Amino acid sequence: MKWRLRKTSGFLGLLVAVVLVLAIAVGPAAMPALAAAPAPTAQPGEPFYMKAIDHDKAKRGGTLRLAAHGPPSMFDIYASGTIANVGAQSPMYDLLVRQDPRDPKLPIVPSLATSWTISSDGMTYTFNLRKGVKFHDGTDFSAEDVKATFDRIVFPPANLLSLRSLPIKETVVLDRHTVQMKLSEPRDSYTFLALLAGGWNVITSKKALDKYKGDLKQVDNFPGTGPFMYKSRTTESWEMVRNPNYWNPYAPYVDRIVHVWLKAWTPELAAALLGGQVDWAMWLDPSAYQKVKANPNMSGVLWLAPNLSSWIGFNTDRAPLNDSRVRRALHLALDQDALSKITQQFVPTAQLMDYLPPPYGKSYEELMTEYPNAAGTREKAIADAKKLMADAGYPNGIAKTFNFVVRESPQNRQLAAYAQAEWERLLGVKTRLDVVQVSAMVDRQVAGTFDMISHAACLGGADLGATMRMCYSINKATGKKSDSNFTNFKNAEFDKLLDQFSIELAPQRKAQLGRQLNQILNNEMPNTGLTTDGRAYGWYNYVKGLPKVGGNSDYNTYQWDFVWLDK
Amino acid sequence: MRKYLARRLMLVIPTVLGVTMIIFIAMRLLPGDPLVAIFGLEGARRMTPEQRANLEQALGLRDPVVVQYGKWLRDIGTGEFGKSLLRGDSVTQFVLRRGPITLEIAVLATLLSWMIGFPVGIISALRPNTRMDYAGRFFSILFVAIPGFWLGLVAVLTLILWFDYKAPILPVYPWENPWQNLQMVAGPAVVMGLGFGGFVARIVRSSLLEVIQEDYVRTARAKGVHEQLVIARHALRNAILPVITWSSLFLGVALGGSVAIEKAFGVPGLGLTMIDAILDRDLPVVQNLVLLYVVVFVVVNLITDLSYAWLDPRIRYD
Repeated sequence: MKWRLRKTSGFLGLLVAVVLVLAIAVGPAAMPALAAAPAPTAQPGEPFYMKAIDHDKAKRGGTLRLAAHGPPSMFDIYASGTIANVGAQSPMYDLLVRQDPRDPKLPIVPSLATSWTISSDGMTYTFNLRKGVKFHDGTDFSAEDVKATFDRIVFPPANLLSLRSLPIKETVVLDRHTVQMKLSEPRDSYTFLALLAGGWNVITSKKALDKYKGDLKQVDNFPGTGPFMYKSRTTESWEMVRNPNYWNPYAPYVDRIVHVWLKAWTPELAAALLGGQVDWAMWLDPSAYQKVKANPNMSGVLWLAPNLSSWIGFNTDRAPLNDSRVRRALHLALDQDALSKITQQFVPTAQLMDYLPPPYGKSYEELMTEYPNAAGTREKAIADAKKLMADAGYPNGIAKTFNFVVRESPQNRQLAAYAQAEWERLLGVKTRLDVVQVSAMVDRQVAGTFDMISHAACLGGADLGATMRMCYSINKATGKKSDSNFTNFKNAEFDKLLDQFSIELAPQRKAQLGRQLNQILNNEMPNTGLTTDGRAYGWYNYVKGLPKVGGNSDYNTYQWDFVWLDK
Repeated sequence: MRKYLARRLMLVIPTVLGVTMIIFIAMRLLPGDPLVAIFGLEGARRMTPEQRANLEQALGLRDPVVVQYGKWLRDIGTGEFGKSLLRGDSVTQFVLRRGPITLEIAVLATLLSWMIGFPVGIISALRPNTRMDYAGRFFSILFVAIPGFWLGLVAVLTLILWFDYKAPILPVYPWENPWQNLQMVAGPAVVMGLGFGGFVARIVRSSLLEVIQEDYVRTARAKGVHEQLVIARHALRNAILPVITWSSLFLGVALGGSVAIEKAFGVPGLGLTMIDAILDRDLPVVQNLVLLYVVVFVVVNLITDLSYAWLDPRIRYD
């Protein structure tokens, strides 16, 4: 498969081409649903330049005040696992390719790479880079910078961390404006491009990486090419100003953005937004979100995070939890929808989910109408749970008191208390809640010193195969269990299928493998309480250019380059 | 006086040193992994043992506890108070940026407490068991009893829900924009000032009631001195000492960070910094701010003790 974006093409043509090619290459299984979105046009002869929705009406200038979840504890975005970094730093940088910020349901679009070709075996990606781009320190952007960036990400120096998992074997500079990535194993094009479009893979200069030897922890102003430039950073905020030399002549629209650090889900955050001290806020608490929706001058959106997230993980190494019948019984004893309802006291919405998202797993609607989640099948689920316990040799419950490690938070405590009560009431399974502070969770998770553990969330990502490997399999490099495999889950058939799933390029076959993987997890049930949380955003109506729908992206894809202020 | 001052200053050293030891040990006893704070759960989990060892070495966490304590003392001596684990900021930055806001709130609150407490206390004492006295006592007890953070929350919610108004959330200093600065500090200062004012009124009343029964006040009245002069020159001057003691404590508390009130108003002062650091287990920030508060208390107490001699000629330190 080979395709190229022509500079002479209009944007509409490019968009259609992108959609068609990806549809052919990847098929409906892995394609995000395409939403009807306005198609901005580009002048003939221009490279790929995007404009804001309503570009013709857009006003320029002004200061956009963002209530941001932060601040970052350090600035090495490649070593960070928190949105505090990627959210705050993204506007200063560009990615090689990106998700369309105007509608996250659209496919990947160019950024610093204007076009790319993919070898037929899916192992080599060749990117043509944008010319005439400069870093904020005045140096020219070239293929060397792309190589230096991805070498830092994929092959970090021994004393540095990288939390990104990219299947890149080698990045090769072909010429000043062409770079090639050779993969360590095949990936379908949507998965690999979506991986590159993750907000964490920002391109920085080779000069800066050499200067700091790749260690950017203390460097809050390492040069990027992004739409905004560093202005100042204080203990409360981070201010960035418009990049006057930005390569996109249409963007950014505002002159200044100020990230104001306000913690997620707090009254302070709600007060700052509702009191007009910020223009946009992320991760509002349920009450604040309702107030936003009720205010005619404001808008809001809910977004369900597509993470593999479960509220309770079972230690599958420990008897009797090493028996899948016991795990399934514990799962059936809990009204899974009730878990979501408890969660909804703390986050604007939460939904029961399957292990894998559709098309591999079931949708929320399907789950809620089928056994064991449908309202009419609750009694059968409880009877089945008791039968499974009897089959496993525990008809009258278990004498042992299980150690249930719970991450300290009101939400986790309530969920754990519900599970504790139901297990004892219905199955005679007693637990002792061991509430621990977040930083003590790591020790418990890594050491496996628990029977059950709460907050067994496993972060999502564009590469579902890699996420599953991280959550339920072994690390191929070390041969040990993966670092997020809290449940110590081991299943040879699962591992074999996962290997195939990860490298499968044919959509139909990939979907079939995904469904098999999902079925194994449902049979083995290493976790229960699989829930996806909704995140709420709110803003004043004068903030224009924001996506009106939730998508498969979060704050990490926001560079704020197409947002403008109607005031 | 000089000898007394020197003696008191000498005592400050072991006091502060003792406090540093207690803080340091207490912080080490708290559970928590600094690397989780810096890199997040996922980051800390995905570190290899070698990476963990390198990072801990770089942070000085692998040094013996005594060495860590020594390094902290050295840093304090050089004015380097360490760096937050969760933010890319140093403690010095916090103090320099947020300290003035807290100082402003503390001073305003103390002044306001006098402006409220003295008149109410004097009227109550001079008109005991009258309606005015009852009203003064009622409101004094009311403002003492109402938790400041609750009053703060009510004020903030009222302003937001009824007037769509929230005071500035980024520090604005009086020399930058006095009006915005006033909006930021007025709420916490008034809430704290009312609470402190209730205390001051109670103390002034009881102290003045006691003093006006003294022989020298009776003598002054018998000599025909005007009542206002009797109160102002003879009674109030002696009654003021307990108020000074209490006010110094108030000021110390307020300077040490009006933690709950700053949190309620969302004012970025040192109190809010402290509470956030405690909740996040940001040990370097907690450790150094607690030390700062101790030093503030010690200094304020010293100044208060010295002021006694100036206010009351009967008190001599030499």
